[in-house]
Amino acid sequence: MNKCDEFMEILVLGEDATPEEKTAAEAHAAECAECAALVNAFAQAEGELATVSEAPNGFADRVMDQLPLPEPARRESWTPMWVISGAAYAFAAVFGGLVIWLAFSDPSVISGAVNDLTAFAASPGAIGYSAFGTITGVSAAVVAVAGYFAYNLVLSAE
Amino acid sequence: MPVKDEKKLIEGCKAGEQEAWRELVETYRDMVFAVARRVAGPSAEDAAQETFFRVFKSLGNFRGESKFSTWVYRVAYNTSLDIVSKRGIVTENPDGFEQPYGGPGPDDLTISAEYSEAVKTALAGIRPEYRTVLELYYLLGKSYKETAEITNMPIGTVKTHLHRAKKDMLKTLRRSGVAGFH
Repeated sequence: MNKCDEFMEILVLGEDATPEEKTAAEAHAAECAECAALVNAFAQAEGELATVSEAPNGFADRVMDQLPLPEPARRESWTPMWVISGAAYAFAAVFGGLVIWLAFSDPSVISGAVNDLTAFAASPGAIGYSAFGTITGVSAAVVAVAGYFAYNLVLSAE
Repeated sequence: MPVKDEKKLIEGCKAGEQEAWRELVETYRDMVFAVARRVAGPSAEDAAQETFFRVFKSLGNFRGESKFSTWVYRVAYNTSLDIVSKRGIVTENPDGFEQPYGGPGPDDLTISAEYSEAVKTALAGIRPEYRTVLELYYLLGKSYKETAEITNMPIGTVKTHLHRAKKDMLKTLRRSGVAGFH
């Protein structure tokens, strides 16, 4: 082994060389162009080996798409549930109450409504004022309550 | 890339939280990809994706006996080896060294190109079983311990592989005439 080989062994391979050996090898490389070129080439190789280039664009998204993660929690409805149910019950109470109040405030309304409803049953084209009120009030209450239960049904099916 | 609160991140991932997984993937993607590229060459993307899938499946087995990053890179290393083995990939010219070295100034452009070529040839000339260790060693910031943990080799074997890899490189560099570039 010639001098250059010996020094290169120390410079490139000799992690266990003594400080004196390293100093001597470095002094040699400073004067020997061939050894200096080899040391530079090694330094370049080490630099390239240590390079961490970025993963390709969209890589993280592709990884996330293939992970069998549970679906994210459903977003909270913008209207809290108690508001919707409260509104439905209030709607039903107001219209139902209105009908009952009308009936009791003027008992003739009941008989009028019965007469009107009978007439309506006999001839749907002719409808009296009180029958119209009764039908509207009861229908509104039924629609409100039915809507509330339908809404709940849709939520539970999702 | 350091993780602010690794324990919290791992717990979030174990709980299946989307945001925690996104953070984990974005934190480790570059290094996982770098390991995959070194070991699996052209199949790096598949190896890196499969790595995260395996991390997902086996995260429950992580007991914190090694650094979390080391555990993730070991999964990347083993996954890449499996893909190489299944597909019979020969990584004679790993594609991890495509970026030109940015050191020398304009006057050295010609010699720099020749240097780059000689360096690539020298790296490609290392026997694959030694080259992987050499590549991981530098990728991991010259850590014998971490290289040994990831490859599941004793530190002594890592040092032997490194020594032989450098000897192979030196031999190829001499043959390529780099020593004549002054």
